[in-house]
Amino acid sequence: MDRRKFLVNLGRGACAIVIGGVTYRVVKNQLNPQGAGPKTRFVWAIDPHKCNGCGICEVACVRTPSAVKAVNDQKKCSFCVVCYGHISDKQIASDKIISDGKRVCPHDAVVRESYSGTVDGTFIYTIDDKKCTGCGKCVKNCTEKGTQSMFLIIRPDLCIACNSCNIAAKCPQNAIDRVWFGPEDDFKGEYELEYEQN
Amino acid sequence: MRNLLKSITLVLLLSVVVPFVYPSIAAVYAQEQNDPNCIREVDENSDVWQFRESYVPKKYNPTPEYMVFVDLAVLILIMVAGMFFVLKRKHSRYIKFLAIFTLVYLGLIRGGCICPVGVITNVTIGMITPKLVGLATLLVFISPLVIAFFAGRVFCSSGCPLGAVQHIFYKKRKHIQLPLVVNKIVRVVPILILVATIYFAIKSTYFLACQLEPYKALFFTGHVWFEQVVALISGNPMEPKFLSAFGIFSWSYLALILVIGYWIPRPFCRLLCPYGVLVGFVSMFSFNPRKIDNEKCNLCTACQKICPTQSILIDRKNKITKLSNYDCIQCNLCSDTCKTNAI
Repeated sequence: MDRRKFLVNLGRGACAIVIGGVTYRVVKNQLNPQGAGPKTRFVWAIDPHKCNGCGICEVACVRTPSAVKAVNDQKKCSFCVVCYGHISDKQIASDKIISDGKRVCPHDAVVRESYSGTVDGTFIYTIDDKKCTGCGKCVKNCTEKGTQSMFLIIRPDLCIACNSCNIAAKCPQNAIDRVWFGPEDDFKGEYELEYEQN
Repeated sequence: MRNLLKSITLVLLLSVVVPFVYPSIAAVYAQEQNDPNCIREVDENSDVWQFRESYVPKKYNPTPEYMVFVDLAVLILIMVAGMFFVLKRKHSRYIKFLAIFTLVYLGLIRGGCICPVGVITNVTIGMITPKLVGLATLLVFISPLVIAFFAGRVFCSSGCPLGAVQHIFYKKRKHIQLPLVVNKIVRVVPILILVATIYFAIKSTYFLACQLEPYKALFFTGHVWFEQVVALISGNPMEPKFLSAFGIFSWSYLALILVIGYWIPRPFCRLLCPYGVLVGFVSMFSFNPRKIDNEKCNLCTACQKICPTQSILIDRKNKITKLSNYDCIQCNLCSDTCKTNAI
């Protein structure tokens, strides 16, 4: 049985070489700071310039309700009196918008607040993430007619971070990319609204 | 003996190919990544990066990053405990406890994504474009293989959340044993799937194994519900609606596999799992293989009947006993049943 023992040892050595080889290949690349990947995990992210708000993410995500939510960037928003992401008919008196206006959002998630306290003036639009389902209707309107301040994001806390994203496979614009966060830049970008500083 | 020779030649061939020849082949193939669905390397000056930098409000509470390392530690601890139980020939219920713990923690709470099934694709991608894969993934890939050197496929019975589902829901006695010829043919399928997984990983970073895996619907739903309950208790509920994951197709696939798995134990491991092939190969050369002592054995074939993966073959006429460590998942059921302590 000596021959058998020799063969088994040979096999062990070969297995060790395979495991070691794979480890070496990956670790060598990770030690090089330019080629290094994330230490732990990925997040999926939508490229806002490619996204056209078709609303496929609402259906395609493995989660129902989807992990995709719409947000309104206050830096880009021009605080219109009538917002295309909020109301679909533009010919309406300013004081009747809240009561009579046809809402774009099927779940009434876009909230309109008067900043100056009067009927006309500047208005702040925020999107209630508890109501939003990520259908992208407000985003579509804002991209086509407005200042492109509304866009869809994949919420990092809701995303299960599947290996192969179902939305990325179905997105007609190929707008979804796999990015990661290092420990130091992990969600640090706290966004302060401008009107809160005043 | 012949089987051993075959596998040794294969592993020797691999040991030359994998570290040295493979990356250059892969690099050529990887340049053909025109598939729109594939994972691309993202330029750090691109829109997505700038955008993420400026707009991720802090009120969202994603799962903290260190949880990945906690999961890894739990996985390794489970496997070390399993190794101890296997080497000491403890009762199989200890292994079952480990399996239940794995199912609850790694499977339902953490979403079953510590699984090395998808890691094959991840590591393959990592060898081509290292920016896309982290070191934690590599550890998940390596640790079961290293454990397999010492005690065989401990991972499959106690550490794998997919294995745990199958280990708990099957008929313990008088399950259907596949005929020998069918079993031999069926054993080839995982090898083919392994090759296909690696091919798709190089070609278009398509996670074939993840797509084939049926249990993801169960695990993701468990994960999502757990997160929702935690958010509710901690005071900022995420969403008001009832959450579900996956469509009707995935759930019916899961139900089908679970029903099959009740009569034929471990259908996924034996029919589909590509990682089982790798662990199986390593455990063939393990230092403490499971063996049948020919002198003690009285050829009662009780172990053959109870084995969930049909790794034991006992020929009563010629008095030959065989135990294939490639198939054995180290569940300790056979050593429980054996009355003469031959295993």
